[in-house]
Order: sequence, then structure tokens, then C-alpha cells
Amino acid sequence: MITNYPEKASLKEVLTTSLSLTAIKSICKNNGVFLLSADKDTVIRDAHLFYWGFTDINRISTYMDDEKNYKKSFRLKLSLDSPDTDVNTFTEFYTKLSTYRNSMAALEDIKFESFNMVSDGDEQILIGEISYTKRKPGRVELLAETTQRFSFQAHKSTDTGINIDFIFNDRGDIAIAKKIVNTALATSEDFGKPTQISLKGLTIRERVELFDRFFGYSFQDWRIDSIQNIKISDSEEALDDGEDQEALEESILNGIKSALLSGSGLRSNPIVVQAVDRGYFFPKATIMFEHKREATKILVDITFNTDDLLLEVVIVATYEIEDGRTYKHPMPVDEQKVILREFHDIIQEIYNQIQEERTTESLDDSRV
Amino acid sequence: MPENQNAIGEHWTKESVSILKQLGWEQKGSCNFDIECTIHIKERKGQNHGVDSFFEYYDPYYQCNQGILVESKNWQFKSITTANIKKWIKQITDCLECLQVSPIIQDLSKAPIQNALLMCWANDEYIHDEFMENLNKVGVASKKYPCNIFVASNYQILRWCSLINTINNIKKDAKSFNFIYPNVPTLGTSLILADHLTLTHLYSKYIFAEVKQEVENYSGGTDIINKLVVFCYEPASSASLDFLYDLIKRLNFQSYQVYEVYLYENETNIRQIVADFKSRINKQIKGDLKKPSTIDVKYLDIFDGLKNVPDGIIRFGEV
Repeated sequence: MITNYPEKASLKEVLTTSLSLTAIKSICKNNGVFLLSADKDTVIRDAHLFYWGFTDINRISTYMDDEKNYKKSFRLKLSLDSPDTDVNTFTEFYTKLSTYRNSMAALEDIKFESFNMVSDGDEQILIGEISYTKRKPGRVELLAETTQRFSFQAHKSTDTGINIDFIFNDRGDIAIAKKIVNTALATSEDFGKPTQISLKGLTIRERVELFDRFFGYSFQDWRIDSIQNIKISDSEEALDDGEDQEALEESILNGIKSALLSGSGLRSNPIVVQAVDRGYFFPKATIMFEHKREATKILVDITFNTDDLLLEVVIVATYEIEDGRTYKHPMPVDEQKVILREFHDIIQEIYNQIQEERTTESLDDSRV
Repeated sequence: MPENQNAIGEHWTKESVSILKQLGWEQKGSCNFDIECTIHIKERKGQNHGVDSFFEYYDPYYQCNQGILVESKNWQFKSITTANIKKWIKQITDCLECLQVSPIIQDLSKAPIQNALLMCWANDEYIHDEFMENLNKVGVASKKYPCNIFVASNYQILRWCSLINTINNIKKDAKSFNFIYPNVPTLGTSLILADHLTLTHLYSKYIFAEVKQEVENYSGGTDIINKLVVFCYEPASSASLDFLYDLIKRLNFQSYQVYEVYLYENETNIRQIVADFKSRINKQIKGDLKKPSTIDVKYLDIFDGLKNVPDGIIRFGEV
């Protein structure tokens, strides 16, 4: 929360560096003012002259979050070490996290802003918001010390499994989130170590298969508008020559686009096949989705990050379509959360399918 | 549309003019005149642009006079839809374009014209949240020239009536009353006192004014004291009042002997919050050590319809 009135210079810098022209215009419109110039400097000059109220300044701060940090998520999977035990997985997890919240959290300067068990139909969900202070010395006053917030949703995946989806803004949130879960479960004899979906557990062909099935998935609300970008990596080491990598990415992207257009799938596309044969795979795809019924588009990264190739789903941008034109427009956080959970569920489903098929295939092989 | 729609519209134009005049704006020309359409001839089939009223004021931040086009609409609430607001804004931006080259306007004012005000009055009922929802859905394409449209609904208009009424009451006991335009370091402008409010301040959550007032001293004579008056349109909470006090300090207003904060709220709901705030701030010594500054909190009138607005505000200057 911003509790001190920002200097005009500070406000102007924030409007210049941290908010898009659309966001500034939207904030002004909310106060009955349409700043219609297409020139950002003109709009900022006019917007920073208003004496904004306490609520407005805090809304601007939220917009900075919305604009700079569209929501990103990663999922931790928990399961019982001994599936035969009588322990109620979800209750046990709730108890452990509650104990952490009431004891260790304060010592680690971590605050649970909210912590509630809610019901969504038959499903029980544990939701919470966590805050901690991040200091960025040397920044303008409005940015010098920020309270970082991230949220989580935990729900049962199976009788003995729990998925915890963390919606984070900043990469620093990931370490804090993992630390909380590990500390909370440190004394538990029932839970195994939290895991994440990783490409490391799949062969090169299976990694391509995972993306292939995702591109061909029949989403309930979305259809793929375009694959905007992909990143390639090779199984042994990073490519040395930047230019070659760029050319190869471009070539594979074209291969994917043509495979999608023809509906033939990635595995039969010669460019992709050739790349896979050479040991290349793609750890990241940037996909534009268009809503099937609403005038909305979202740009999403499906990415496997760090050396361990761990899954993160990232909303890069959200758009509204008006009069045939696409405008960048931050989507409310709750709606982003729903989308992120859906994409995690789908990738987890595909990942499990691939692993199950592998088990069946190896069983079949062993019978032969 | 009812038969007397034109009469209602003209009446509202005059009422809008009277409100704006009392905010210190200078009307240029008469109400309801036409200017030639020079840019959208084909689209408008040669039809002129109608100007409800046109004003001018000095803008201390731009350090020059500014011309303001004012369009007044008096409609039933259910007809103030997103589509109609969008249509009115298009009407205004088209008119603004042609105003730039209109000989009629050039005879009235040499000031640049980049701001327009839409005085949108719902004449039966008014639901603020619904109006804001409709307004937020209005999409207007950016323009290649500087152009700002300010939309005032019943909420804003009654707020201004309340402000005018309170200022009139303050002026009764004051030697002088002036609005303060604080210095803006990013523009390099100095603090300016003026007797009018620009759109920038009318759409701000805090409006500042300086009042000189005669008070009795201990020796039986009189002293003139300087008061800082802040009209605050931000919902009061402990945090928001502290935020306001921080603003007062940032603007170096500590030298005023008295700060009077006017809240646009119902007193009973926030009595305890305000009492705590006053007690907290008045404990801090500020200003002249011999006569430390004090803070007081008062309340603006809240009008829930034009019928409750005192005579002399909206009927002022009616023809």
C-alpha cells in the first residue's frame, strides 16, 4: 500500500516507465477524463498534473503490477509417501500449513494476508495470499520498497495427491513459495518431497510430443490463433552460434505453423522431424489464444525454465478486441488465475498420458 | 424523444453555464451558436456544428489562456448509454477539430482549444455505478492532436454545486478567497493564486484554497490570519487522511496558521476516524512555535438532486 503522497516527479517517472499509454488513459477514464492524444508525453504531462487521491495512487500501483507483471504460475505436486495410509491428504496439508502460518511465518517475515478453505461445487480449495517486503534501493520513492504479494490455490488432484498452483509476479516469489512449503512439511512423515512437471523426465521425442498434443488440444474456451514464437535448445549443450539458433528457430516455427495449418501434427513435419533427429527440442512456446465466444485474446508462454526444465505458465499479455482492432488490456487477476490453472491441468494431463503410454509400450515390448 | 426536449436542453445549457461561471470561467459569446464544418463536410452533409457554450480561463500550469468547448446534455438516465456517450464524444471531437479554424471562434478567443467538457445530466434518476460502468465501456480512438474530453455526470455536477455553496459561505467571513495552484517542479511553474478552478483541479481529489480572515486577538484588536482550505473528495479513512496530511507537508503548506479540511462525506459515519486524525495531527507542533498551526475538519453539503441545491447556484445568470 502506498501511504505517502508521491512527488510529481516521481509520479511522472512511474507513468513514463511503468505504465502503458492504454493503462494511463484507462485510469483517467475511470475519473471521467478521456485523454485522447496519441502522444504518450502529452498524455503523461496532462495525467500527472491531477491531484490524485489515496485510492487512485494505490490503483496506479496495482496497474503497475498488472502491466509489468501479468500473472505467471508454477505448480507444486504433493503426494503421500505411503498411498495406503489412512491420512486425509488435504486435511494433513492444511494442518501443516496452518501450523507454519501461526508459528514460523512471522519469524521469517512472511505474512499470510489471507488463508481460507473454500468450496467450489464438490471441490475443496485452500486459497491464500502471502506478502513479504522487497527492497530496491536507489529507485524512485514510489518504487523503492515494494510489498511483494503472491497467491496460491491448493486442490486435490487424486485421493493421495495435491496440486498447489502459485501465482507469482516476481521470480523471487518462487524461492519464497518453495521455502514455505518445504518448511511447513519438514516435520511430516506422510508427504514426499514436492515435485514439478519437468521436461527432464521425457525423451526428446516425448518433449516434442507434449507440445504437439497441446497445440492439437480441444480447449473448452480457447482456440489457438497463432504460435508467435518458440525457443529451441539441444539436449547436450546450448547452441554456440546465435545466428544459427535464430535461423533454426525461425525454420522450426515455420514448420510448426505449416503443421498446424495442415492439421498434420508436428511429428510428421519434416523440419521438426529433422530438428528432433539432431537432438533439438523446444522448451518454450509463445501462443496467442482467441476466446471462442468473447472478444478477448491472450498471449501465453508455456515454458520449461531453469536447468531443470520446470514448467511455468505465463500470461504475457491480454487484449480486448474492439471495432475489429486489438487493444492491450490487463485482464482481472481472478480470470488470469482460472486460465493458468486450466493450462496447468491440460499439460499435466498430457504429461501423464505420455508417461502412461511409455509404461504400456515398455510392458508390450517386454511381452514380445 | 419528448416534444419539449429542445426546451429542456436549452434550459440545461443555461444552468450549466451558470455553474461554470461560478467556478470562475469566462463565457465567450452566447449560448447555442453554430460554427461552419470545414473538415467533416461529406460525413455531415454540409451541416454546421452546434456549440452549446464556449469558455476561456487562464491555466496556471500551461501559463496561457485555454478555450473550452462545453456540450450540455439533459437526458433520461436509461438513455445515457455507452453508445450515446460515444456518439456525443464523437460530436465533440469533430466540433473541436473545426473550432481550431473557425473565424467565429477566432473572433471570440485567441486561446488554444484542446479541452471540452460534456455536462451530462440525467433528469429522472441517477445510479453512479451504472453510469461509470457505461462510461468505462466507451472506447474512443486516439487523436493526432492534443485533445481531452472531461465528462461530468450528476455526481460531478452536484459535487461542484456543493463546492460553490461552501465557498460562498466561507467568503461571507473572509477578507479574501483564492484557489491555490501549487508549484509544479516538472513544469517549472511557481505557486499561483487564482479566483477560478481549471478542469485539472475540478477533476482532482484535492482542491486547495487560501483564505485571509480577520480574527480577534488577545489585546481586543484584530489580526488577519491565513488559512489553508483543502476540499477533499477522497473517502475518509485513517490512511487516506494521513495521506492528505502528507500531501500538505510535501507542498510546503505548513506555514498556514490554520488548515481546514472539508470532507465530502456524511459526518456520522466517520466521526471517530476524524477525531483520531485531528488529535494525532494537532499533537505535532508545526509552523510558528509561538502560534503552532492547527487542523480542523469540516464537511461539504451533499446534494442528492438539483432541487436541493440552494437558489443562486444553478439559476445564476439564467436568461
